[in-house]
Amino acid sequence: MKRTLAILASNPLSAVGVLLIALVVLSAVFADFIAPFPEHRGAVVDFVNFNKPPQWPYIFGTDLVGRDMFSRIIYAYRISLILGVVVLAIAVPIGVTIGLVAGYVGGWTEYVLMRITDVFLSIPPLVLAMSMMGLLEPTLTNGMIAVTAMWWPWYTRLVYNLARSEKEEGYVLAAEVIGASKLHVMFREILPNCVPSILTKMTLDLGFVILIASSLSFLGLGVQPPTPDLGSMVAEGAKYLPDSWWLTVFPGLAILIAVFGFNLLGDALREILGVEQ
Amino acid sequence: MLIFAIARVIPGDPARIALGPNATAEQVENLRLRLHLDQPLSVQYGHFIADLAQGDLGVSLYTNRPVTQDIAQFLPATLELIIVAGLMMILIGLPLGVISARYRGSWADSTIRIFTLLGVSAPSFVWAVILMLLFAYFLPLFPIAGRLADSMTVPTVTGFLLIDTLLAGNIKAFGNAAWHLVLPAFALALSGIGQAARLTRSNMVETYDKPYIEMAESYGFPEGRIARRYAFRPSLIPSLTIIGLDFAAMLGNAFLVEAVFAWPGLSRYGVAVILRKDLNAIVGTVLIISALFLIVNIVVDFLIAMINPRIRLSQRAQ
Amino acid sequence: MTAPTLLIRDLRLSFKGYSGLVEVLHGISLHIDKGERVALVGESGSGKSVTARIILGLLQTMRTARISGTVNFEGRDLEAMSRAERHRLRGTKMSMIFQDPTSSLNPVYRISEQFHEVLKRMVPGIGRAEADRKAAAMLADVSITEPERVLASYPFQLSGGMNQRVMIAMALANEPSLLIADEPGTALDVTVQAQTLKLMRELVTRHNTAVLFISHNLGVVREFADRIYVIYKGRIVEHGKATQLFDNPRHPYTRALMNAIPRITGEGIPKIQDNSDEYLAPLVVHEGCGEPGEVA
Repeated sequence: MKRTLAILASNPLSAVGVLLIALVVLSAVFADFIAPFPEHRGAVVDFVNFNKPPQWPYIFGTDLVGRDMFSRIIYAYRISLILGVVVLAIAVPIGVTIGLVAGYVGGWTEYVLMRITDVFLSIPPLVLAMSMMGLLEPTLTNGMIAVTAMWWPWYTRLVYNLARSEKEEGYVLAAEVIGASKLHVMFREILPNCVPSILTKMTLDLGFVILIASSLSFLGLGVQPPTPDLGSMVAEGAKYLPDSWWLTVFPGLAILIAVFGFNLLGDALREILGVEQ
Repeated sequence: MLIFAIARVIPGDPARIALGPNATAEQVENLRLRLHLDQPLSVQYGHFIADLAQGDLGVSLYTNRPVTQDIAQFLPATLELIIVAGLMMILIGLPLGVISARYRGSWADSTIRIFTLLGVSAPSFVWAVILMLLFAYFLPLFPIAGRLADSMTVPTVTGFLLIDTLLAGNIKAFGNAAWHLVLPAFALALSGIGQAARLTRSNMVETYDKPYIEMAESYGFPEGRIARRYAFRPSLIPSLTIIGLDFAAMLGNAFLVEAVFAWPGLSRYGVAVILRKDLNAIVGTVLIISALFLIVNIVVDFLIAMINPRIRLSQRAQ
Repeated sequence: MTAPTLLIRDLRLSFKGYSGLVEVLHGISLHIDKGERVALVGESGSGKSVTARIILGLLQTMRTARISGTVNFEGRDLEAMSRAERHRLRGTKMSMIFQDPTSSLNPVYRISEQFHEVLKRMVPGIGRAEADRKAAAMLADVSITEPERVLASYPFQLSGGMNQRVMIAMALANEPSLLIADEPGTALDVTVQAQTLKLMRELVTRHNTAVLFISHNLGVVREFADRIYVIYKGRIVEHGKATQLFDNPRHPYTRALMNAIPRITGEGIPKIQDNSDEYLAPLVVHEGCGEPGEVA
């Protein structure tokens, strides 16, 4: 703990990361209290105040139907975070289990599991998610499915490599010698030693899931209007550049801030837990 | 095969979607026959593979042309963009990483680390929009969209404008095409630059702790030489793998950048056909991108083998 | 009397850490005459390796290190020299051998290229062919029977013992006046280590090279060194000729170290205390071994 604080103190960037993430998460959780116009997250129209540059009370301006950009960005954060958490909550256990089994058991099991993983890894991630989204209906749930499908193989790869090197370690051999079951060795001996790497990757990935999800919706393949989404806000606003610049710049910066924060945090975590890249 | 599976398990009748709600039952039936959609899945897969072997990807239901022809038309523009972005990634990213590692702890290192982290922290469409706003609108240094000024025409030979303009001996058009490339390529390259620099730095910092670096220092080899031959080259091996992955990721990110800069490439075609659920075209596009992805990975493996004597020698022995 | 090859006087080193300054060396003094073989013995963490790195000037670049005291090399104060001047000594007048030979050689270059690099320190314009010829001769000196094959190999293709010989050959290639050996060959098999040490001793005797031999193992040092300094927690605790020290260890810590040498007597592993107030007893200097300029 003392060391953790010392590292945080010696690296002001990590502190900035913590701060940014706290800001993003808190505003998403308490969106109903923070957003000046909570009803603007839906299909509300206010033609009196449409397309206004930043001004009070619309600090980030209003969109083409008069909704407050600031309120919509805050609600978009909520959706992005939920999506990120759900995707990782599904992708990580799947990927980790497959990687652990393939890495520890070996033989045919390893061959089959890793070939399947390779098939998924042989298509650029974004393209895979895009083609899946194109063939499914563009909804939040399907977006999560598509992103999850492209995400788990990376955890399989990570844990597979870790498990393969850990299984040669003395403590694993010791457990085997005293007759521990395979399940015990995998989940009780090897897995705890992979946790720092997995945790670090998850922190970084929370940012990257948000990034990919916004990319999908930017292409019109994600969450559909009127649900606020950072990616589709940028796409919509890009049509009105440069005059209505606030329509793209603020959601764009919002993505940047969230992902940057998770990256800083992940880097700090990596240093604290002593994980190699 | 995965592509095929995804394409066929989706709900809905592709023929009906393709023809729209106004088509007659007879039209739909004809199309189903033409696409072998009436037959069992295994037979469909057989047709798919057989056609693929002959280089036939079927007809796009969106453009009504053979998919191969569509791809041939749109691919060069995308490749040109990706190759230029890839070069930027290597030529900017690697040196930044080396500087950062060599002067680790200095202000230069901190600055580079913040900038490269920012680079990987935003999707390329955000950078595309920001760059466009800054350097095309506020400071009109670069063109806003497209590949070439409307006033210029160049005969299409390869589809790569940088090459076609040179073949035509039109230096002015070459300059114009290059000028159009700068912003989109840089937007596409930014996250790769960040990734490459960060990885090179962390690998080099790790290498700097290796005993052979201390040995080199104890012999008083010049510092620049130690950085180059002793720290950079061994750490290039893991970096290259990631650079390959980033290069491949650009194949996906090109979709985003092309959308912003109205770049007439394969990605724009891809999005259009995905939105229209144009099966043959989707399969064809994904297939060609996966093939490119595979090629990039093979090239990277080859390069790694070249600079890593351990792999090179074990392969020769076989 | 000529100046000693190496003279260290009251060397102190501390590191700036999270919890303030930590002193690692509390003022050590030692000297090595021309062609003399001196050992610095102590357990890990006692400050032996940092001493070696200070002599070479490798630690001075660390921003957290604070160093005071004097280090004279052949009569010249190293701290008074410019960075470039100091740099010029490395690899030419002084060189170093490391613990693990295989990981101390660059994995992506052939031995011949690395040898070339070393020889260029002395003769900057030396060509590849000329360097290879010299290197082959040096390798023959360390009893390598097929120098050409070794030169054309990468470090991972050679055995640890072979790499150790290559390192010794490289270290002596430029005829340095001081060789620092930091736990040489500790990573090797005991028999291989013994062979290479014997070889090293023959070579330094022939070239009249002064050696600072750093080790945690008194047994290894016995065969090698003329004089021995025992270091404990950043202080020299005993200093004497090898024979004096082995026949009559006076400092409690030296006696404990002596007991730690495994013997084949069937007594099992001797019991020694990890820590004892006695170990902090003042420096013991054997007869005739005072530091130059000091009253012995």
